[in-house]
Amino acid sequence: MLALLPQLLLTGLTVGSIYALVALGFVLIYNVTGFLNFAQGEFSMLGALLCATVLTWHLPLPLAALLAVAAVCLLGAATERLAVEPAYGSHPLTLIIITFGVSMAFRGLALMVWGADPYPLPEFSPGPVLVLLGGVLTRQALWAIGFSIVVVGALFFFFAHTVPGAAVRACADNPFACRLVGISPRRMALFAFTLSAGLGAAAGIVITPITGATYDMGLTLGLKGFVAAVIGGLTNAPAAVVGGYLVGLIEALTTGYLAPGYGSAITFLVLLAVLFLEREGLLHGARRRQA
Amino acid sequence: MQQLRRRFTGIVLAAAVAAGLLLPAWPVLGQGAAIKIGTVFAVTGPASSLGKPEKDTAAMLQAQYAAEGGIGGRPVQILTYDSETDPTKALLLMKKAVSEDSVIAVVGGTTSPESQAMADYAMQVEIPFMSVAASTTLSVPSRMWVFQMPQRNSTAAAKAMEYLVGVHAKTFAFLYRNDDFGQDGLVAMQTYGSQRGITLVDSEPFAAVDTDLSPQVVRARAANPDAIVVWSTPPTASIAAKNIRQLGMQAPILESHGIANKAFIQLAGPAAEGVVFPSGKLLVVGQLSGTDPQKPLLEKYGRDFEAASHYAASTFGGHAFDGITMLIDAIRHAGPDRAKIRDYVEHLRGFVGTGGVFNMSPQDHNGLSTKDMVLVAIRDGTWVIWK
Repeated sequence: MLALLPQLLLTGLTVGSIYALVALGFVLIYNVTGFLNFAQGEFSMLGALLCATVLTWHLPLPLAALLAVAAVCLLGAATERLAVEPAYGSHPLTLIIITFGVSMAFRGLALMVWGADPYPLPEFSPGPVLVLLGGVLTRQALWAIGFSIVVVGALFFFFAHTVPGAAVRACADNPFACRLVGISPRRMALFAFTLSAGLGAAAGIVITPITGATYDMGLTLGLKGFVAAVIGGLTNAPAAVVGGYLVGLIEALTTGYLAPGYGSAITFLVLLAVLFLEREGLLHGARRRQA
Repeated sequence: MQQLRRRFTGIVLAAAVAAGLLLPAWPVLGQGAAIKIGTVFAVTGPASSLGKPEKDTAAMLQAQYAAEGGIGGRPVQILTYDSETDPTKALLLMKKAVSEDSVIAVVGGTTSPESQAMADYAMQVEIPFMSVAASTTLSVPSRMWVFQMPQRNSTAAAKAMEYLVGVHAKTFAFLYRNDDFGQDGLVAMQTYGSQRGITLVDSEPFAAVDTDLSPQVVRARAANPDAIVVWSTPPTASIAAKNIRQLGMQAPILESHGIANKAFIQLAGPAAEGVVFPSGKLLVVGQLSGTDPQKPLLEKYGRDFEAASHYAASTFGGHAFDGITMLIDAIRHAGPDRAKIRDYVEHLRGFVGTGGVFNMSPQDHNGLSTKDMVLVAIRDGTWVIWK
């Protein structure tokens, strides 16, 4: 039994890094706007599929990835301006439902454009897998894990040590006071959507060499990323990343030791447990904004 | 002036309505009422990569029959409906085709759930239904009005088992997508395996949305099987192959007929090399021997389809082709009557289609066997017949 453990842990880390990246997008938007963007998984899907398409124009992979991320940033901005912005002032629940609608629209659009077949992306640095403690880790998994760590570091630096970062935090704390000192919360919301769309797209591109990209990948990614973000308390980026790895490890260990197929069920049980014990974590941001 | 214009409008409207009422009757005067066949495919939705070539095949055949001038002076009309990969919509559209558009037979049901719903309705209203889905339960047990065009999943499993026999495997592990398709495969492979003295030593289910199957592979590896069998479609079918090779397993990989598309090879990359799977003959038509009874038909279908639709033909479009051509053959010989068509198809022997040489009987409404499939190996990123 113990012989399985190293591989299960490494698999958990691989899958967890994927969830962590999506969870970061949730946290970013929640911190600024006080509601959840359920189109977050769709940004990853669009990034991955756009990158696969741009790659067929015989551009180098980094350039293709950059173009795809930029395009999804624009889509994120458009989502905020066209779908969410007109409804500001409504109940957060209304806004959340709007993002659900946006995610369904993106998914339907992707099905029309790309069809149901999965698309591949090449590994960033092809080569043999790494053997660690008797388990194997693919090079692409290292990219995903590394990317999630770099992004957390960058976000931490941005929020703690830069003026725009401080402005974003200020908007989350007290939008009214922000307006008084000349920071527009709406501009910050636009910024948060653009950034988290780009982040989601990059995450989608990093994981596609492992999983393949399909029009419906955003649904699962979004759900698991959401669970990870909630476990992390929704406002704390490093905690969300830890949440992502936790969900990945829970799934891998359940599949390995309990029974395959129960991974997701256990994950959602953990989510329920967290919600029962830490109800404040999910709701206090929304309540604060209404106050 | 105003009044005049209003009266004029009234006259024009009345004339238009009258013309509209007369219009549907005109073809009857010319050449006899059209013989209508209904087709319901998942042209959009998750199964669109199957349904689209099916619909395009129907359109291609419609054009061919129109050019030939129909059957016995009566034009043939193939009506197409899009089920959007939704069993409820598929059923409603079939009802519409039968009750409003008066079709005399129906082809379709791209996915097995759609086909199940349509088959039940075909039994209720007693109309010939040619299913293009592969679930074994569609034709086992045999149902009066339901015929199945693709090789059954159980036939594919029997063909797949020939590979395990061929590589002298004594044991195998089975990784499968935990749904009807995968469970169908599990039962069939276990049964055929025990008949050949090949033991299932481990079975590992996974979900269609899983992104890493290493835990399942590690468990399977612990059972140390001679061969490893994967029953799914891409992307999980590809992820499984990748994980198996990444984890250093060298055992031969056998997959299902669900990977008979280029997406599998693209996603699995080098791990696709050497993977073997059962398939209809269309994939490897160029490598078939000249004496193969299907070869001329497969070549012609591939050519015609590409000319009409501007992309490569697939086995799925082939199933629609078989269903429609079989009905047309029945109408030519038995006449445009539901019951006569059914009786004719039920006793059809040696009918050469894209899926194989059909030998129907009252007990077998599929009529295909393992002889109609080939084992295909992936070598250098392309398909070759495995020997």
